[in-house]
Amino acid sequence: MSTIDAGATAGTRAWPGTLLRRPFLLVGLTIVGILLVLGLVGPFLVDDPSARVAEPFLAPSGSHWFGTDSFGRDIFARCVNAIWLDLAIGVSVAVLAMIIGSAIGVIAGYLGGLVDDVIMRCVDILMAFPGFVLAMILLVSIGESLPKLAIALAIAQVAPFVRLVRAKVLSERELDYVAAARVSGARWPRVAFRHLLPNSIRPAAVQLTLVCGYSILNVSGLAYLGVGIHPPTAEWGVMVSEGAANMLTGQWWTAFFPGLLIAITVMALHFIGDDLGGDRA
Amino acid sequence: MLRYVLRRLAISAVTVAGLVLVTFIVVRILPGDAAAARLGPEASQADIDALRAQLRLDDSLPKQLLDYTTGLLKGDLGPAVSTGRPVSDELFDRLPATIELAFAGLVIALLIGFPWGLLAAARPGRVGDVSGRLFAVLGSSMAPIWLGLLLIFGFYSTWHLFPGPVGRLAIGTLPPPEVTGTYVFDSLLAGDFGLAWQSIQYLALPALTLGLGASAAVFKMVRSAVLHTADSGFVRTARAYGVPGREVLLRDQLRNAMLQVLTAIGLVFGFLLGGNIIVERLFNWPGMGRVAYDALGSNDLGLLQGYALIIGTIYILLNLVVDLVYGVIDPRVRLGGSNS
Repeated sequence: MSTIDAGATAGTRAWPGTLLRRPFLLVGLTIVGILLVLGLVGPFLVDDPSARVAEPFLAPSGSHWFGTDSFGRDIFARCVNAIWLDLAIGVSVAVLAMIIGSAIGVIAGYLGGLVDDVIMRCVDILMAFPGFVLAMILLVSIGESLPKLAIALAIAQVAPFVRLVRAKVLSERELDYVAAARVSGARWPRVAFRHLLPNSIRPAAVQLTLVCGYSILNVSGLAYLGVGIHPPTAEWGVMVSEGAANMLTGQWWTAFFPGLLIAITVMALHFIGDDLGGDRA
Repeated sequence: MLRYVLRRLAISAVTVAGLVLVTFIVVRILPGDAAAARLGPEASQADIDALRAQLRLDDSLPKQLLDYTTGLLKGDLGPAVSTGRPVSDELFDRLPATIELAFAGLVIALLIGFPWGLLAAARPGRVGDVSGRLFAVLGSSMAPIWLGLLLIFGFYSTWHLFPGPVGRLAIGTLPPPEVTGTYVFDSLLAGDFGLAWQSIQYLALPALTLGLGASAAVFKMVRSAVLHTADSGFVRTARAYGVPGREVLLRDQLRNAMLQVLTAIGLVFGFLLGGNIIVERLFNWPGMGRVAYDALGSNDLGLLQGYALIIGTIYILLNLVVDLVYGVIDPRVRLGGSNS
């Protein structure tokens, strides 16, 4: 009894200690946590993001923390309302890319041979495009909507997942448990997806946070080119694009704050991803 | 060595063929009508049909693909419906501007990322390393538009150190006589140093926008490549013989890490060539990305298809060159290549 207690206490004490020794992870998790809370609660506390609440181009002040834009909309309110949308796109693109990429990676790695060759050549082709350009062309071609935006961005990010999972599968498949599963009569889909996939997914999971960040950046870039999400939607990238012209005329705050939020969010995701990927301080 | 070269050439050729197929599929086969997309929702069916006939969209798909590929072999990328000129003319006219910008971006990325990465790898965990890693995360977290806007706001609107985002030269200035199409180089050739200086000033901010983002990638790759060599036997042996740390770093570690660094440079340059649509639009830089942006606005899918194809092909060629240089430098690579 006493030994179990001691073990339990040690376990619970280890947690904050580990986190403190991993400052980047701690900072990253804290920022994402704050964003999530603000994204859920915030919209009930701030103005309507599309309402014209004040004069246009008011500089940041006590009543309008981030100032107002060319329509007199409160930029802070718009930024807070956008958190949910931006995180949702980032996460759904990353998860989608991971599901598709890992499935293909497991099949390529486990089956090997011709299947592997064909799949890896296709991955090479996908990687020959900058992901941004591929997503852009796909979107223009299949038409625009939020789900299509997520799918186009996900396809552009599939390649790294395929590579990571395949590489892990190549070493995993030589292990005894795979042979055991095969000897016990499991067919290849079962061996690949029930046994190999759970053991090979870790590198892909690390990539997940990074891709989430890239996607938020890509959405903002596409918005600037007029593809994907359009005004008057409250989305950080859209807001930066809308404010771009104001930068030359001195109203720096219209583009500055939404862009800052993008940078902080992506940075936090990078911190988490780098730490989980073993790149510690 | 010959087998290695042939093998790499064959792989690149297959990839380019795949690229042609993928861009074709995306533009012609996926649901969506290139003619209807071009003309917009208010176009009459007769107009759409006429454009479909002009673009030969009513032919069978295999015939379209065959026509498109035979055209490609002759250097014909099809017509750009939004401008009436051939797609290849539209894009290749602008290639020098894009290359000039990407090259300047690469130089900046290397000037910042390379020494910093080396410093970080020499003393991991120290100030130079931690600050570099923070810089790298920050650099890859900023949206390119945002970074560009901040630079414009600081260096143009506030401090007036650099010219505003109006393109490659001040409005009304005549470009130098065309030799290479890159203004800095051409004005030097013409002996016009004032014009060369002006071109550099106009190049500075867009190149900095591209280069700062890319320097983060260069830093990460140099750091990890050099750090990777720190555990190897030759470094331990050199140290055990009493060779000073700096000499080991520069003569042994760096030389062995150069292979990965070289790959990294190839990738970054490809990324700069393709990833600059945003920067070209922001700074009104008349390069290929700017053409692609205009094509987006006028829904010219054929022009976009040509853009993607050229960017992808350049990327594949860069990788091929890097792989071949790799083979020349490192015998392990070409021997390993011919074994498999």
